[in-house]
Amino acid sequence: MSFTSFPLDSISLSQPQRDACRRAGYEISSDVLLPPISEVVKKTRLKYDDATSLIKSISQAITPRSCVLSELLRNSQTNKVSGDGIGGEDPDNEGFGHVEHYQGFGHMGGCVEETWLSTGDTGLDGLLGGGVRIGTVTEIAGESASGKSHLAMSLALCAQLPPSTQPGGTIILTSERDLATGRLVQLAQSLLFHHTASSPSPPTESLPSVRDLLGNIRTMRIAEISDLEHCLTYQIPALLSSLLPANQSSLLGPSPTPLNQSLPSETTINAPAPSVTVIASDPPIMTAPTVPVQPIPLRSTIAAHTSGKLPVKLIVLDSITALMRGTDVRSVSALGLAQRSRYLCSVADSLKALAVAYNLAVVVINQVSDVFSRPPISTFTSSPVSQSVMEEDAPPMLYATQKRWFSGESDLLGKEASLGIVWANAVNTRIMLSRTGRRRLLNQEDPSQGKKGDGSQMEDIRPTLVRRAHLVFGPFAPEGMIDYVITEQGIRTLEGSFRNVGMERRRERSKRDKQGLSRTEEEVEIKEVGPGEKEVLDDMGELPPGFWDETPSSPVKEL
Amino acid sequence: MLTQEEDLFQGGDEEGDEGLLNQPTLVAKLQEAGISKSDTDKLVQAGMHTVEAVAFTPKKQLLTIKGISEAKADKILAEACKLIPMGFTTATEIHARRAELVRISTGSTGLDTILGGGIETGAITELFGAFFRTGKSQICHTLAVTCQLPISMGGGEGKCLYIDTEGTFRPVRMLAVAERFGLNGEEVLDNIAYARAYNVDHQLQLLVQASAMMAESRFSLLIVDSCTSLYRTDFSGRGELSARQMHLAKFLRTLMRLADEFGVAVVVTNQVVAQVDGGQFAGADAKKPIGGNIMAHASTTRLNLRKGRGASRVCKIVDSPCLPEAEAIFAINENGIGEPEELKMDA
Repeated sequence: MSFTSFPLDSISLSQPQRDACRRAGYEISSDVLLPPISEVVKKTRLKYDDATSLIKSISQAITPRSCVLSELLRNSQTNKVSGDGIGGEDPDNEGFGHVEHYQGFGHMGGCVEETWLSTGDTGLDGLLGGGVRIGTVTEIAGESASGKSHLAMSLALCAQLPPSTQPGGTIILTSERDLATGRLVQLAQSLLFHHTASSPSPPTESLPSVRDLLGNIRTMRIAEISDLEHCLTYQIPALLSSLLPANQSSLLGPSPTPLNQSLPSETTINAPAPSVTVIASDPPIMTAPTVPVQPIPLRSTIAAHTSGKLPVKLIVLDSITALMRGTDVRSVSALGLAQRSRYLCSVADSLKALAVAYNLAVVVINQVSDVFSRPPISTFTSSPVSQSVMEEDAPPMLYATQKRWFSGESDLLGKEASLGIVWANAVNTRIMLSRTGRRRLLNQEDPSQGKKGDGSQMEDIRPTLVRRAHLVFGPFAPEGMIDYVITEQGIRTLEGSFRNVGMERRRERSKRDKQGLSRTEEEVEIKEVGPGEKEVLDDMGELPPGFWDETPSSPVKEL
Repeated sequence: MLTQEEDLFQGGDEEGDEGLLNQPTLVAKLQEAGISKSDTDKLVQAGMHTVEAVAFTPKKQLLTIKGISEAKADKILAEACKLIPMGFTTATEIHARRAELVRISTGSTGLDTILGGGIETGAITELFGAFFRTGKSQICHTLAVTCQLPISMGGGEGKCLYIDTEGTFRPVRMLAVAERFGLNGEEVLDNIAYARAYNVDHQLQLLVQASAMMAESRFSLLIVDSCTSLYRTDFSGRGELSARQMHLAKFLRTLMRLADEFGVAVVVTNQVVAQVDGGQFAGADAKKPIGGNIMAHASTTRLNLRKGRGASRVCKIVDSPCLPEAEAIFAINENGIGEPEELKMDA
């Protein structure tokens, strides 16, 4: 009932109305709105018409302001790079000018507005329609060693670095293992190095140090599902509100539990952040004034003072599956599954409430399970040919038939995100990461090689494993796939590897309809190998010995 | 459940000032945040004397206290968490802590180098080999001794717990290793607690006993050799696959908690199966460690062992959150894991 309990003092009323309320002893909006109108008339001793107008003005004042769609569209167009496809940025776009500035680093398309959180790589941002969307829950699923936690760590660092105009901290909840801080430091160093190397007059003093970057990443071990619930309901809201800038925390009022915040959250979301627009369309002075130095404290992070800290912009849960798997053997039973669904829903609800109330992005990491070929219950033989025939004939509403649209399973990957349909419905965006088994030499086209920075030269003698990111579903971009490699600098997508899966499917279907071909022929897919590119098959992972050793000998401040 | 205290609680709704103290805050502090005295008294009676204790108590447990309603528990917890901004550590602190992390030497310099100093404590390391006699059990035997060495010598200064499922435990090998490091053989064996597991339930049950032992004295290493062999025999076929994976997940989860709680290094060995389904890539390695995705996700570091020339073996890091993929050569010598002959001669 929180929407009715606004203090009447905070609502703009005319003086006679105010007097009438005081006369009647009304203090909060529900006092006026809930009783029958005759009683309001009697108590306030107003005329009937005046009483109705009092009720009307209070209702108007407390109703959340609705937003015209055209207004939203205008705001998003000024800042957002169109999300359908890589290289979709046009020179007319206002965000492009300054973004080009960071080309060597991999420019962050469309993240200049605070509605997107960049992944630090253009290709991946393009795949996702601009990055990880603030205010939503994004799931990263993937097999072991596919780079899930790694992507989350890059996000945590990129949230604090330019061109993100509003740097923010991160909360990482870990349930599998401690944060791999060694890698985090390495990533931070190379990111900072690229920033200093790519800007003409390196504003070294304005960039945060590795220590600052790490100081804004908070982490906590979660051992049990009940710990998680406790943490999400009490600890995180308390931390988040303590980190909000002073003007905002006053807005949130005295009890900042997410449930009571419907009004403030609305206002924060709808606020189009006009200052950001100005900054984004102002390329030449981008590096100097907008690199946010002021909010980052340079003193030790161990101190208990939270005043100078960045507000949190990202919550990572790594991973939810570890909490669900194996905590209870009974989970085989229907009762256990029902229990699991209840937990999943409550976790998803609190995450979404936090995301909306505090205007932050939520990333949840999920594991995968194997998908077995068609269940053997069918009377058909299970050879691949008859399978595909069967697929056509299978009743279209079966879970097994439907799930290929959302589970992350694809022709090339026999794995699906775990936790079933309940969780699939709980997340807004699902990204599936996988190891392709192909290897590839990082050749001269490699962006890091043509750069003036001398510390990051790598001897690319041995092929690197190619991994693949698959946007399974998401409200902001069409389904697509892109290949990437993980290097010392972090995730780097391979140029030209983007595939618009939805488009391909449509094309295939129309082709099949025309020619009456069976489905089998589309299953095998041969990716075109570009010139100067050599693919090698995987043998469980192998990198050149010196591949990771070279750290950028750079002006990066040591930790 | 609701008593007359409810009214008091409703009445005193005023904001307390933020007290960010480093020493324990007494539970009475909650009164300033609008919790009534009778409620804080109840908390004290239930054994919670500080706000810290309250903040980390699950709501479920608060509800068991007589006279604390659900709404009240919510309010108490929210206020307690506001007063105590703890529970989160920054990555900087974790990084500093991890720099002091104890690593247990494997006995081979090359192997220690690629592992960043040895087997990590507080994490699960999985060893698997495509064939038998790739040195899985030998590494375990050596680790059981090196974990007792002082930290300056690459040990963990703690006892070892050895869960054996295949019957490959050979104390004689450990005596030889102990001799190499100049330790008293008898004492070394006294510090190794050995248990033979006969079925998967027994294997899981042993971990409960293990936690009791670890609470009593300092252990630095827990070995399960092999983690999955009993699962292969106790469960068979696709029909039981789901049950098997659930059980395995539970087992690994318990291991993870032991590693976390007591800071022990956990080393498990795993076997390999030929992949009959055949991946899309015919040339790819058709052998896979068993345990599927559950095993893959649970282990922090995965090491793939294979045979090299003579007594030498090759170890490759397959999966690790912070180590790059790399290879090292080691040898199985008389006295445990060590350098291969060729390298020794060069030196």
